[in-house]
Formats: sequence, structure tokens, C-alpha cells
Amino acid sequence: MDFLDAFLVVLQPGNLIFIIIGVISGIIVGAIPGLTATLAISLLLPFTFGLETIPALIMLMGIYCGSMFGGSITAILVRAPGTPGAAATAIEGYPLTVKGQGGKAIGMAAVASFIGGIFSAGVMIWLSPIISNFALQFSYPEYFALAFFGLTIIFSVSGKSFLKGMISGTIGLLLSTVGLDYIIPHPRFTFGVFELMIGFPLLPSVIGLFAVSEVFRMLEKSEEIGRITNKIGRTVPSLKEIKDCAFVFLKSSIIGTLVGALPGAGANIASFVAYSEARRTSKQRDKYGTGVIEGIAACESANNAVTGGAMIPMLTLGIPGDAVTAVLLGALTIQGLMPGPLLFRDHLNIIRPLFAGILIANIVMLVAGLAGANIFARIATIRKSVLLPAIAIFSLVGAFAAESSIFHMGIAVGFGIMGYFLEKNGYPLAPIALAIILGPLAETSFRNSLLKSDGSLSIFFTRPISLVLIIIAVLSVVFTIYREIKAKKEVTE
Amino acid sequence: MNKKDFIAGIVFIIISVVMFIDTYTFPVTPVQGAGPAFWPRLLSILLIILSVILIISSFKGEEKSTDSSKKINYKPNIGILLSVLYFLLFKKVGFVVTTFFYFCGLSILVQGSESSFSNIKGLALMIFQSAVLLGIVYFVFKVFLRVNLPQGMFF
Repeated sequence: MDFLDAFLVVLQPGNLIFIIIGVISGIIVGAIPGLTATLAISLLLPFTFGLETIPALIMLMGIYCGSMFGGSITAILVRAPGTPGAAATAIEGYPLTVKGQGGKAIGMAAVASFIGGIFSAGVMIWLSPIISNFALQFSYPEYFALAFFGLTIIFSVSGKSFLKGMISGTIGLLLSTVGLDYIIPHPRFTFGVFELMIGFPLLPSVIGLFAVSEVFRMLEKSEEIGRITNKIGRTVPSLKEIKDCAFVFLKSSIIGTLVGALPGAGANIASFVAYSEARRTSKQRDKYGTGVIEGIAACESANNAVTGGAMIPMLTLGIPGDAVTAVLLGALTIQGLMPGPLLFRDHLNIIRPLFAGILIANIVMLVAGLAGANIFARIATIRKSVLLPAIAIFSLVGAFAAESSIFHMGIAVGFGIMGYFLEKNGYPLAPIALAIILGPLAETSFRNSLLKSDGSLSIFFTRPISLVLIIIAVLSVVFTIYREIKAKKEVTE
Repeated sequence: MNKKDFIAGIVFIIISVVMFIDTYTFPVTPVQGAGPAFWPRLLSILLIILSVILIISSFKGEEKSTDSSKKINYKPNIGILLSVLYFLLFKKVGFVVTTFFYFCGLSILVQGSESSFSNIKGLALMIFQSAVLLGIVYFVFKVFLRVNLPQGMFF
């Protein structure tokens, strides 16, 4: 299937409708303050379950792109960023709303998100085959090194404290060992529970960790999200405004794609970096903070550019760089696809429509964002007394629905409780999800390597690629610890 | 001393020790390399080491006095209780009844003392909202996704 065919497949009404549903639901969930892109995908995952592979995947792409943009709507209108990635958008966005130019700000956010998304999708489509081709020569030691690299970096950077991030990750890795052993079929840590033979099922675990725990967390804060008082005006920005930002778009898209491709760094970092870079080089630097449209262009093209960047390591190597792509990877495996270099060799009939789907999802997002901002904003500021029960019910019934299993619902509740208490005490949740998903890869590649080398660990240090990856991982951990100790010393002095 | 970190450290150590001991029930591999027990043992030892560091550093940290003086928020705990009840009763009592009451329970919990449900109008609104959501969930899962939702003893 070449690209033209792939586009035609995706544009079939039966497929297109799922992109549209995905984008719109992604925008809405993304726009609701406190609900991240990870939560959007976890919450909507059960709906892709019954679909064919292609509609399911392109719907997920729609949700991903939509939720990244959606965060900007409430950031601009009520200064409550819908997602952490839109936090920087609020700096310039809200002052514009105060001046009565909220519509223009949202329009610019939509255009910027579109440009960032398309740019990074292009980079992804161009680079992915090259990387996966290179990765085809990887064997078990390289895969172990890669998993080790990804996991250690994410464990060490995702929390406020290095120690707590590592603890989260180790707990996740231990959880991933539950179930039948991969090499010798012996049940581990199932404690007689038959359903645990296959380990913790991914979908309810993810729903529990990210959606159910959020319900409990929302109960802590009683304040309502600000209401939108007046209607939003014209949203389509003028050609001149877009032209003025051309350079900012380009720079921020590059920053976003790069940051997205790095493990451990996500949309929030990308948009802050792009924002400060835009301010540093701007002619109207003094006006920043009072509502400069350029600032929105920077943040929003950067955070949507993260999408394509973050997909590269996930698709080509099977190593997600953050929680969102980890959940996406889980969604792909649920569809029976194992991300990694083989995906590009054996499943081009899926990969090409997936790529076409991302491009079209960005177009749908632009149209929906310009036309529907008013409606989305109103839905997103729904009262908490309705929103919170609705999320709870959708996530628990969703966990049940995939396999009509009450056990799965129990897992979602259990992981929700665990996730709530862990995060409340400073243990980040992203490492747990990543560890549950990457744990089996890390373990099997480690053990298979040792089988190859007759039990000698030297196999990881004599192969150049694995050696380099392990060295970088160790260095980054050492650096993180050093920085943390130094910061602590400065506080006490 | 940071009590929470201390307790968490102890809990993590207990979990790791239990898992570590359980690995001795795993079969030993006759071949070279690592058997089924190797990886879990490695991880539980790692978790024990990390927990010991956590416990040691918990003595250095200061107790946040604001925590005890602030009124404890019971809402999340009640929410957890409601969710567990929902899960336990979902199959037996059925989707419609449990979902309806779960919605109302959480809705009242969110509003708390300023609850508008003390008057008839507020109560009617909540019942209406709950019924609408029930309808949406029913349509999405039962009609659209064709999931068999448990009917329970009432329907």
C-alpha cells in the first residue's frame, strides 16, 4: 500500500468518522482542567477496543492530537490550563481574553497546533523508517540496553525527587513480573488468582492509574473551574498575523519535535522552552506577559510538535518516552501490534494509514478548533458535581467493558487507590505505567542475552550500541543525583 | 522526621521481602543464565535498598506541621469507599441501580456542605443529571459497543 492508497483508506467515511470522533473527544477531555492527554487516551481506550485495527489506531491519533490542542482553550479563556503542556499558553492567552481577544488567541492556538503537529508528523514519517531500518540489526543485548536507558532516564526525571521516581519505577517493574514467566511457563506472584496468570491486564491498570486516581484527587480540591462569561469572538487569525509568526512556528516546531523525541521530557517542557526562546528573540520582548499572540504561537506549535517527536522512539524501537506514548504503545499491543523495527518491515499496511491518519487528524483538529471553540469551552467548564461522577463511571465501566470482566473493574479500582496514595506522597505515576509496559521487554531481553552468552554479563558491555546506551543511562542518573544533592546543599546553606 | 516517608519505606520493604521469599517457590533453571526468580529478586533487592535510603532520609526531613493542623479531608476516602462498593455491587445489584447511586453519591460528595441537594429543586436536578448520564453510558456501551452490562436482581 503506498501513501496515496493509505490516504484513500483513511478518508473512507467509515474511517474518517473515527478520526473526527477522536479529535473532538480529545479536544474536550484535553480542555477540561486537570485532565491530561494521558488520561484522555486511557479514558477513551475502551471505545477503540471493539474497532478494527485501522479505525482504532487513527482514532487514538485523533485523541492524542486533539487533547494536546484542547488544553489551550481553557488555558486561554479561564487561565486554567487543560493539560500541563498548555501551562505556558496561559501566560499570554489569558491577558488576551481579558482584553476581549480570546477568540483570536484560540484561533492562533489552533493554527499553531496544526503547524506544529504537521511539522512533527512529517519528521516522523521521514525519520521512522530510517531508524527502524537501523534498529533491525538490534538483538537482545541492544534491546535490554535500550529498555534500561529508557526506564532509568524516565524514572530519574519524572518525579520531584530522584529517589521517589526510582521507587515508583521499581514498583512498576515488580508489578510487571506478575503472571506466567515468559521463558519457563511458571506462574509468578499470582497467589492462586487465576486471572493474574497473564499478569496485570494493561487497559484496566492504565485506567486505574491515570483516570480513577484522578477522580480521588479531584475530590481533594473543592473549588470550581472558572466560568466563561462572554462569548468568544472571531477565531480565524488574519494571514498577516500568521505570516508574522512564521519564524516562531518553525523554531518552536523544531524544539517540540526534538523535546518530544527525548525520553522523559514532554509537552510541558517543550512549550516552556519554546516560549522562552520566542521571548528571547522577539522584538516586542517587553510586552511579553501582557498578551502577545506570538507567545501562544510558540507554546502551541511546540506542544503539538511533541506528538510526532514522541511517536518516533515508540513506533520504531518500541520504547515510549513518556506516559502518553506508553499508553499508546499499550493500545497498539492490545490491537495485536508490537511496536518496534519489525512493525515497519511487516506491517506497512498499518503504518501508512496510521501516518496518513495523523496528518488528517491535524487537519480535522484545525477545523474543529476554529469552528467549535465556543462549544468546547462550555463543555470543558462543566460543573464538577457532574464531571467527576461521569469520569468515575466512564472509567470503571470502560475497564469492565473491554472483556466484560468484573475482575478488570477491580483492577481499575485497585490501581486507582494505589495511584492516588502514591502520587499524593510524591511518587510519580508515569514510571509505573512505563515499567508495567516495558518491564517484560527488559526482562526477556536480559534473560535471553544471558542465554546467548552462557550467563556472562559481559555481553552488554562488549557490543558498542548497548555499551553506549548503558553508559549514557548511568551518566544521566549520576548527574541527576549530583544535581539533587547540590540543590539540597544550597537550600540548607 | 518525616513520618509518611518512614511508613512508606517500611511498607515497601515488607512488600519486597514477601516477594523475595515467594521467589523460592519458582523452579530453578537447568540451563545457563537467569531463571524466573532472577529478575524479581534483583528488583526486590533494589526496592529494599531504595526504601532503606528513604527511611534514612526520612529522619533528616522535617515534619510538616501544617498537615496535622489542617482539617483532614475525608472526601477522597469516602470516594474510594464508594468506588469499592460500586465494584462489589456492580454485578449482583446490576448496572442501572449501582451506577445511578454511584453518580448521586459522588455528586453529593463533591458539593459537600454547600450542597444544593438539600432542597427539592437541587435534588431533582441531580436525579435528572444522573438519569441522563446513565442513558449516555447505556447507549455508548450497550448499544454502540455491544457490551453485556450486568442486569442484576432488579431488571
